Amino acid sequence: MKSLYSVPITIFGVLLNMGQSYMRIGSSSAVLKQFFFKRFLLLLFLFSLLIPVFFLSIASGAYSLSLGDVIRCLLDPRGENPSGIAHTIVWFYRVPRTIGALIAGAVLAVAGALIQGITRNPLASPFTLGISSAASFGAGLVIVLGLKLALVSREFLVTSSGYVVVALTAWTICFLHTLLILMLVYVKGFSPESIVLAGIAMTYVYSAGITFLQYFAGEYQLREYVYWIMGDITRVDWGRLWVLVAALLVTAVSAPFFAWSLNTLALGDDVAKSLGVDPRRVRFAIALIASIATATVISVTGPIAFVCLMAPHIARLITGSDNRYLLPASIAVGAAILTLSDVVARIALKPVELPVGAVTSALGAAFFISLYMGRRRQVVME
Amino acid sequence: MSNTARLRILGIDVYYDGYRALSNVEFEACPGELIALLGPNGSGKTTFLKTIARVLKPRKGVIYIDSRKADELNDNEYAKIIGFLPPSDTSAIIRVPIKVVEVVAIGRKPHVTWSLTKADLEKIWSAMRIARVDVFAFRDVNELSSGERQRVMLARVLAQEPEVLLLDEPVSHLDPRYQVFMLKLIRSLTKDRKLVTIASLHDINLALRFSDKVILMKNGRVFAMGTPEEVITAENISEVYGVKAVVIRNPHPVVLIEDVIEDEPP
Repeated sequence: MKSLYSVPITIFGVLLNMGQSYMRIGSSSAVLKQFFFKRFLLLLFLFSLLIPVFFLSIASGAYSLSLGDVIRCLLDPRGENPSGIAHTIVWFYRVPRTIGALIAGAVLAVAGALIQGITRNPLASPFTLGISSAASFGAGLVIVLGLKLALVSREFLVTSSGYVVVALTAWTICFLHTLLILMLVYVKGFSPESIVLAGIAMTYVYSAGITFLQYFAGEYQLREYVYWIMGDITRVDWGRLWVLVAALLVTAVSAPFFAWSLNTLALGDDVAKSLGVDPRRVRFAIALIASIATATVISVTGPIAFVCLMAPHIARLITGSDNRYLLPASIAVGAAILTLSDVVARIALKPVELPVGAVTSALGAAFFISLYMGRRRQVVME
Repeated sequence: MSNTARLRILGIDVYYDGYRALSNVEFEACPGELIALLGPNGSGKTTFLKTIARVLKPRKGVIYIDSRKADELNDNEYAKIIGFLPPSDTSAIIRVPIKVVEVVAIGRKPHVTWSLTKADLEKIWSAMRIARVDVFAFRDVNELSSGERQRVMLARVLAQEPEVLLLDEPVSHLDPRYQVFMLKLIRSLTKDRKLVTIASLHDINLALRFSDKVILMKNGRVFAMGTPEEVITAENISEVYGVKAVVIRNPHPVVLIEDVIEDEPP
C-alpha cells in the first residue's frame, strides 16, 4: 500500500524538476511550449491522483477493508461471489458516498474558481454570494417552520420524500436568491465589488432569518437543523447521486467556454472590453451557473464549508492562474480534498463519524492561517 | 488623404451620466503615424482613447476603420484591429499570482479559440522580447517594479497584434531612461508595422520629440491638431494648461513651464 502512494509523489517531483530545467534551455518559443505542456502534465497528474483517493475512500471507515477486498467487491457489482458484508458496505455505502464526495468537491471547487475569476477576488466563493446562507435558510423553513406549523410531520421528514422536500426548498430559495443578487448587481453595473457586497448584504439577511428559526425551534428541530447546516456527504445515495452528476455536467461543460474570458477579466474590465469580452455578460452567466451548481450540491449535502475557497487556491499554486488549467485543476483538487476530508471524518473518531463539514472547516482554517503566515514567501510553485 | 486613412472619427459625443465628456471630436490617422494626445487632467484624453477602444460607447458619431464602419465589426473582429493599454497604475488591479507569460498570452484572446498554437507562442515570445520582458518571463507580475509591469502590459497589447495601438499614459510611471526607451520602441513599431498609434502623454517635450502629430484637448474638445511644431506653441500651452510657458529653439524646440497663470483656476 505504501509503495502505491510513493509512485505519484515521485512523478510529481520529476514534473517539478522539468519545470526548473526549461530556464536553462535558452530563449525561444519552445520554452513557452514546454511551460504550457508542463501545466498540462501537472493537470493529468492531479486527475490521476483521484484514483488512489477513490480506493482509499472505499477502503476506509469504521469497517476497514483491504485493497484486495475493495477490488474484489468492485469487480463483482452483482455480489455473485459470497463476500458478505464487505460487498454491501462497498456497493451500498462507500461507492455512492465516494463518488458523491468526488463530484460535490469538484462542483464546489470549480464554482469557487469561477466566482473568484469574475470578482477578481481570491477570497470570494459562491458562499460569499450568500448561497450557503440561502440554502440553510430554505432548509430551516421546512425543518423548523414546517414542523412548527404542522405542515410536515416528524415521521415524514425522516423519509426519503421528506429529505427531497427539504432539499427542494433549499434549492428554490437559492434560486430566488441568485435571481435577486443578479438583479441587485445589474442595477449597480456588474462591478466585481457589487457582486461581493450584494452577496454579503444578503448573507446578513439570511443570518437574521436563521437566528430567528433557531431561537424558535424545538429541541428536536434544532438538532436536525444544526446537523443539516453542518453539511454531510452521507446524505448521498445512488438516487441522489444523479442530481450531483447533473450539477457537475452543467459546470464542467460550460466552464471551459469562459476560460479565456476569465483570463482577460484578471487584467481589469477595460482591458477585457478591448479584447472583445463583455464583462457584464460573462459575470452574469458565470454568477448564474456557479450559483445554481453550488445550490444543487449543497441542497443535497448541506453547506460544506471552505472547499470552494481552498481548492482553487491550491489549484492555482500548482497550475497557475490561466483558467484553461485552473478550472480543471480545481475540479481535481476539490474532488480530492472533499473525498479525503470525508475519509478523515470516518476514521478520526472511529467508530463515530463526524460530519464532513466539520472536517473541511478545520482544514480550511488551518490552510488559511498557513497561507497568511507564509504570505511573504514565493506564493507560486516554481 | 481620407482614402488612405486607417482610422477616421466623425463627430463623436460621449456622455457620463448626462455630463458631456467629449463633444464633436473629429480626426483621422494614416498607417505609420504616431499621434500624441495632450491636454490637462479631465480634458477627455482617456475618454477619447476608451471610446476608440470600444470600452465606452459614444452617444453620437461614427468610427471608421479602413473606410469600414466600426459598428459592422463584432467585438472579436474589432479586438483584432484595436489594442488598448490602460495607464500603468491600473495594472495594480491584478490580485492573483500570475506569471508574465500568462499575462502576455492573454493578448492572444481575439485570435484563439482554446489552445495556443506554435504560431501563437512565437508571437507571444516575440512580443516579450520586443518589450524586453523575456528575461523575467516566468516571474510573477506582482513581484515586478511598476516600470517592468508596464512593459509587460505593453507586451500583452503587442501580442494582440493590433493595427491601431491606443496607449493611455504609457510612460507616466517610468524613469527617464525607460520613458525614452518606451517611446522609441513605440515609434519604431509604429513605423515598421505601419500602425496607427495614439498615446496620451503629460510630458509636452516627449510629445514634441517623438510624435508625428499632436492633438491638444481642452474640456472634451479638440483645441488644436497638427504637427508638433504647429500645435505646441507658447500661446496654445498657456491657453490649454493655464501656465506661462516659453518655447526655446536649441535647435529643436523645448517647452519650459515657468509659472501657473494665477487668475485662472488651476
